[in-house]
Amino acid sequence: MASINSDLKEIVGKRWAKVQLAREALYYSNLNNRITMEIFFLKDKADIDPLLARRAENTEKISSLVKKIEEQLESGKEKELLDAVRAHRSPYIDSYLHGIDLLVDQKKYDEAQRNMVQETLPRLFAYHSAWNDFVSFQGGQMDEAAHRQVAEEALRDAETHYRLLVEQLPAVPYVAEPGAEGEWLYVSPRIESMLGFSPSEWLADRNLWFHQVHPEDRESVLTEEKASEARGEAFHCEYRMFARDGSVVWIHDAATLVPDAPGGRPVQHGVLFDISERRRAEQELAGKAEELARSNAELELFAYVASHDLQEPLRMVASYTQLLARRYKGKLGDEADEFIGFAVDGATRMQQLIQDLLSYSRLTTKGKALHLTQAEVACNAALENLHETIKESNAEVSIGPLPGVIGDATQLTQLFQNLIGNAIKYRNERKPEIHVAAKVNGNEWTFSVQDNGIGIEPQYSERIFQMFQRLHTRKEYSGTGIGLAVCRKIVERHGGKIWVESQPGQGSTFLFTIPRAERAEK
Amino acid sequence: MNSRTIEILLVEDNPGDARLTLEAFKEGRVLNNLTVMKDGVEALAYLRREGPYANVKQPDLILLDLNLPRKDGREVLSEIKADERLMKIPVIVLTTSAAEEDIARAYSRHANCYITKPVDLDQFLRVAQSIETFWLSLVKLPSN
Repeated sequence: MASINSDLKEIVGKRWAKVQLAREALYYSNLNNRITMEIFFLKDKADIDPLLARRAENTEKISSLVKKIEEQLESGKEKELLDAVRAHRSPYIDSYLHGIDLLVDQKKYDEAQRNMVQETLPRLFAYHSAWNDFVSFQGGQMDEAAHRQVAEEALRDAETHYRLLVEQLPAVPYVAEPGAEGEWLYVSPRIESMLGFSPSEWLADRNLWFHQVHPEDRESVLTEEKASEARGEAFHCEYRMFARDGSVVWIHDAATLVPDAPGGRPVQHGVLFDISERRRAEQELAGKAEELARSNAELELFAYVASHDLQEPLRMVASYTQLLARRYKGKLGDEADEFIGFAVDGATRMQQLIQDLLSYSRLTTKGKALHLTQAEVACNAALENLHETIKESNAEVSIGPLPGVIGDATQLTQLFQNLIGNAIKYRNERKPEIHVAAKVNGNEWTFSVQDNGIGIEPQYSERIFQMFQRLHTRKEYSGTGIGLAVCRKIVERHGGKIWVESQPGQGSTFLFTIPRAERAEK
Repeated sequence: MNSRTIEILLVEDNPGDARLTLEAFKEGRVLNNLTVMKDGVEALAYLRREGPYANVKQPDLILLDLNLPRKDGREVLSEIKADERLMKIPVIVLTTSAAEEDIARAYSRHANCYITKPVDLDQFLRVAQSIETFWLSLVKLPSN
């Protein structure tokens, strides 16, 4: 296709040539006018002949110029204008020749002058005016071409920008007829880097697109296309396509149906996005989550199995050392008693550790499904279990109104039991006063178990929730250090978090959150 | 109070556990004779008085562990309860398993009671004592 620029060049070239010829003709016409003036003011009319000869020469030149122009005429309008030039030229020349005749005859100077002013000059002006019309017509043609060029260049610029924009998108815009065998009318060249097929291949084969769609995804693609058309909404679909090299590319296809596109047929204006990376990342993430879940499950199973299987031989050790103590205490000497005492103590402690480990791992392996549970009921059950301890320690436990939550009743009871049990256990010389409360905090409940016991140094506020971490010797306070780890695991299983606010000697407040469930609060 | 010697069959593969049970019942007040069979096949042969067990006394009470070699306790339980000559003998499942499905399955196979072996000796002795008090003193068992 010839460029618009060369069109303009051609137009300008042709028109300009004619304009030049016209100007030349006018130049010679003006020369003749000057010669006429010279003739008018000649003192000696005998000198007239060379002037007349020059004049005749010019007239000849003008005639040949007009002929040249005539050869280059392109349109009827041009011919019309040139005919007008000719039509005005003859009367002008006739009138002018008549004036010369009058001048040559010395006696008729006045008449010649009048002829010049009244006849020849108006005809000259008319004649020149005809030339002007011709020239300005040529200019107009050039202008028009130039204007068109400017407009077309602007359009082309816009198109270029648009195309660059479209083609540099990290996606593939397209225009295609709907359906599996719809014709593809446009596709961005990027299709080649996305799927390995060139745009021309793409446009040439109306079956190519659907052919490259993964067979497992074809049905859903067509279903979604129909569904989106029925809904009158944009088409959005994620599916797999095979690239030329056979690799799978995940595509997000978003398209809008244009029912009355130019050409009178419905087409889809769409964009193909390569979402393989995202899919890969998603799969990787899902894989990692699965792996993590599996490794957690394995770890829990390991803890369960290990503790379960450890129990068996340990039961033997513990039972027989206890039996030894029972049957032979005081019979084998003080040292033997002491040794047996250590053995019994060690075995007992290990049993406790294993049992704790087992119950800790059971929190998830044997945890029940979460359902509507009244925290107050769970808390009261905990008090019931702690009945003896509360009585012995003379503790005063008050419970504020507690809400219903989505939880595991057994575990919530254990949670309250561990926290209240700790509050009593880590008491000082004062009478233990414990308060359990709950308050709404945005989307969750914050439960608190407040005591007036010994408190905790702030630097230990993290460590106490770790398994088998203890701040005191067993002599001071018994236990394996599992209680708060269990609490944390229970709270986490319920989707909350647990922490402590405390100062040594000032008592402690253990706080934990559980997400609010509107259903549970009605 | 029963004055005759009570026959107890303990089916238990772990000698430590067997001895411990023996010791626990030794401390009891009821005169008893505890026999230990180490697997399910032996136990059933003993109960059915087969081969070398032709002349043994039928036990008054069976203490049955679940995890046994050759034929495990669950099968032994089913066979005892399906055998007209044996089904009247109370079977106490005495095992380390606290698994709910084991408990449920034992009862559905007509175990007379299910006890998880306590880890602590004192508790274990108390269990033996309770078995003795309940099954050997309080409960009226059918005479052989």
